[in-house]
Amino acid sequence: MVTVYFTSAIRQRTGDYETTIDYAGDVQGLLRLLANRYGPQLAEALTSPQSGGGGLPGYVNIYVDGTDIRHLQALATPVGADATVDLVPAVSGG
Amino acid sequence: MVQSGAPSASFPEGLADDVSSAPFALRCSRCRRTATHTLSAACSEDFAPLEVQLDLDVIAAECARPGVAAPRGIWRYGALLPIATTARLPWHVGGTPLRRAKRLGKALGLRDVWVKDDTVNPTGSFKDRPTAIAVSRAQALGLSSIGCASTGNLAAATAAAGAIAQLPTYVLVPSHLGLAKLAAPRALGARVIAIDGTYDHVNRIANLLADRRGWGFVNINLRPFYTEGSKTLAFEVAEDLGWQTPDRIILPLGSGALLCAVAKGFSEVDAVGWLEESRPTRFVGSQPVGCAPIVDAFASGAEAPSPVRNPTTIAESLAIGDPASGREALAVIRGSGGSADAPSTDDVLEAIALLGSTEGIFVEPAGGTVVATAKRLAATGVIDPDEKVVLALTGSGLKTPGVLHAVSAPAVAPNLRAVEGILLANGWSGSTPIPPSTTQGRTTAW
Ligand SMILES: Cc1ncc(COP(=O)(O)O)c(C=O)c1O
Repeated sequence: MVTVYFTSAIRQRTGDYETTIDYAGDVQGLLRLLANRYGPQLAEALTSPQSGGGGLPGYVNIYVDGTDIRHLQALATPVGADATVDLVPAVSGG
Repeated sequence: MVQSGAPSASFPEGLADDVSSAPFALRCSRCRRTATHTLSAACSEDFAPLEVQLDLDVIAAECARPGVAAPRGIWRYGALLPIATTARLPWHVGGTPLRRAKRLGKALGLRDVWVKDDTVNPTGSFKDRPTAIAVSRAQALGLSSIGCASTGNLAAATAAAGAIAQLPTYVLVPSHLGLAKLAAPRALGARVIAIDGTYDHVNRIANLLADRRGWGFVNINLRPFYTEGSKTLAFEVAEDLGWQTPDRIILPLGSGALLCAVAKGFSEVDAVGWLEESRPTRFVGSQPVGCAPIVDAFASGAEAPSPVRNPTTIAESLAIGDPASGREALAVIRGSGGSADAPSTDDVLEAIALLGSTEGIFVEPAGGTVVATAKRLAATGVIDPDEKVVLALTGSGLKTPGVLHAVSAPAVAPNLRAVEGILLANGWSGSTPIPPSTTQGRTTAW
């Protein structure tokens, strides 16, 4: 099972802190499944035009097993059957 | 202070019962929607950052510049801060000196250089400013616990604020931090969790933790208020220059939040009519080689920085590979006609020594980075010798003695002859030595 953690504004939208999904594939495919579960608006906001390039979400960081997908293969990053995926609004500094 | 008015629909907070807070709204910086959750840093519609927007028209109409009787420190500018008097943390932060740096200026070939010495804040860095406001907000919201994700300085600031507010305080830091940066938050009573990873790992985990527990993390879910605190550095610079803004200000960049906050501060004092005259300021951002994603994006023309996966720099406080306010900082720098610069480690170490030996201020590498950038821009003629330039010195060198290992002195035997030998070997014979005969005579007399 893939475990997906939501936080902050994303969690406010999903209503869930986490969910599990029976899936293996890539990040793009996972986002599609999340859109089915939580509504297309979520996926739309996640991949908004504030893109950091390559169709990546601008204001949300996506991590697969703790690594930012911008360091991997962006939305084509593989998601293993036991992966942990974190969806975190881009806030930091300190 | 704001003394009148009922809450208005567009600026719902900060009026009525908490009359002494600036009237404000928490809004999305992109879609301008008012936030639906008070403990959040991102818009629940488009996930863009939330920001505090002050009702500047009301403040302009009702609030004059702070008078001579108002004590120095961040609360002097309460009229421009979104915190009610009753929630203000009783902590003396800010009010730090802005000094004309004539000797440093001479060394750089610049005639009007000023240093904003934020090393003298209670925990030794500017981070006490944002933390004081964020923890005041936590108090206003009645939160049970506070915390932060930190590259070091914020850890001490949050721990100190937590002690004053008497709130359990959770500090998450990378485990590779220097001893002083790990020891200080512990001594200040925080629960320190040192994570085996980069700052970006720490930040991700802190984001998840703060949300699940409902804790107020100063630079995460309290971030819109945190950045309001950093504005006070701009207010002090403007006031101490005689209610003027400088021609240029050079700031260190980690996440880019400080630079954006200083720009907001200058524009707010202008908007409320406190400045003698409205003058443009060029913003210069400085990051060390080894972790310079914002500088690289500036150079390449990119709109947003590409994250650095493994920062390698002695400036650990600036080792933020994924700067969350990078996009905004780039926009401020470009819009102001400023620039971004990345000095090398050697430049930074040299600059620490140059500042120390000319002005008597000991900074950590974040300060050395800024001074090194000033030197580089002066040498290449980017800075005009007559410009009024402010250098933001944001952290004390006392917390980062390790970076100066290379220049530490070997131990000398405990006798005068050995010490005289060192003086001779280094050519340190600046003052007149006592003649050998006299020395001899006195020695035997004893
Ligand atoms: C001493 C010092 N200067 C500058 C910064 C950078 O500030 P910001 O992350 O707001 O860009 C930090 C921390 O991140 C710091 O500790």
